[in-house]
Amino acid sequence: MPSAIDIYKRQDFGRRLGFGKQAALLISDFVNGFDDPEQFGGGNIFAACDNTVTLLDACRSLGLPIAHTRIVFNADGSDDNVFSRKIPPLRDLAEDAPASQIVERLAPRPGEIVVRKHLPSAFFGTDLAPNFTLRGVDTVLIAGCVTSGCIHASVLDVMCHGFRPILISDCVGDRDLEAHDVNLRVLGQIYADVMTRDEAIAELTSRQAQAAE
Amino acid sequence: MSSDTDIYKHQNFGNPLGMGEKVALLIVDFVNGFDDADQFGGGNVTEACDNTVPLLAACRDLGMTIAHTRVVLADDGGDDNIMAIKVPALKTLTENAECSQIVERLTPRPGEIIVRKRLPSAFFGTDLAPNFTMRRIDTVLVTGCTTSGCVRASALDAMCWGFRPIVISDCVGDRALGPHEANLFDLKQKYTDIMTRDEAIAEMTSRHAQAAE
Repeated sequence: MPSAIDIYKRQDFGRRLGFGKQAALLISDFVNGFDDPEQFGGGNIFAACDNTVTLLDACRSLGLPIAHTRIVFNADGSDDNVFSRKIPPLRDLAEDAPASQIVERLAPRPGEIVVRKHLPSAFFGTDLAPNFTLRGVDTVLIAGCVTSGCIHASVLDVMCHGFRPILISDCVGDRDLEAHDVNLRVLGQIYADVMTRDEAIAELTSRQAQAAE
Repeated sequence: MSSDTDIYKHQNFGNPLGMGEKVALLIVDFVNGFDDADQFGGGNVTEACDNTVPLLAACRDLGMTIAHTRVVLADDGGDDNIMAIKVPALKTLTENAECSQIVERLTPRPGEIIVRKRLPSAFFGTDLAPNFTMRRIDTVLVTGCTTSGCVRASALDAMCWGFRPIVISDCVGDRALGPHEANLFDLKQKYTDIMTRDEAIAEMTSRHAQAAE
């Protein structure tokens, strides 16, 4: 009996996209509330967040555009939506709530893009795509949480907006490990390349060295 | 007394954007129905369309990305919208109608993008922005008709999507000359650069020659 991957191969899915000329790093929703198993976290989210510290450092050293996202709802409920009805605790992620602040170990630096969003994708109802376009970005590395939710949505929209998505497997996490594995496997076949953090850093570094020659 | 232009200058509007590294040509709605003063045309639309022929030839010679738009509404009215209520004659622009075909002197070649749209902007509800992004476009030359309608909407959205719009003044036309001039003025002050066709061709040719050196 063929494995789940065999059918993708037989139908010629899962081609490698590769890097373009200018990569950016997108870090989705690594905020305190998702770093905490008592709120939105759990599973391998905390580990993925830790793993992203080194990736962020490397991307900063290489001068890549960096974008962070936060889910932020108005404290007065005026921007309530279907998503917040499905998951009411999202409404607690108000602008000044500790739960909605980016974790200290990944704190954005001046000049980095911070996207406030109301929905899973970093691109829906935001100007992130034009921001990337203006910076000449053609490839987006994706880190963050959760793999089966906001990461899946953002990877999809990265591709739909004309950028090449590269999902960093050890820098994305989910409260549900089974959902994490299934989503990584499928995204790698239908929309994105999947690389480990160290593979991505090695390739970025080697490309920059070549460009400098 | 200060002129209209003085106040924009005083408030530091109207700065030049310049050309980026990769330029595309967008030709908005130069279809038979707009080339005909008895349908949607008149004013300087036909002249602008004539003027676009050498621009298109030059852009093809330079190997640029080229996108044409057509307004196309469904034969059965199934995609009727507010614009079609406002301007019911648009409903005649169906897929196979003579009036919705691109004028013969600007016929698209294989490999050029053709965008079917139902609304003024070439970008609204279409995948033109991702198409340009994937081709690493950072600058869009805007031609077509009408200046006060679809050209203005498309130039605005080109800017909103993170591209630098350059409106080609003698390759855009309007059935009414007052709105044509007033809209070119607004666009120049707020959103876009304005160049004549020959200025744009000269600049692109010189950049191309420099790049080849």
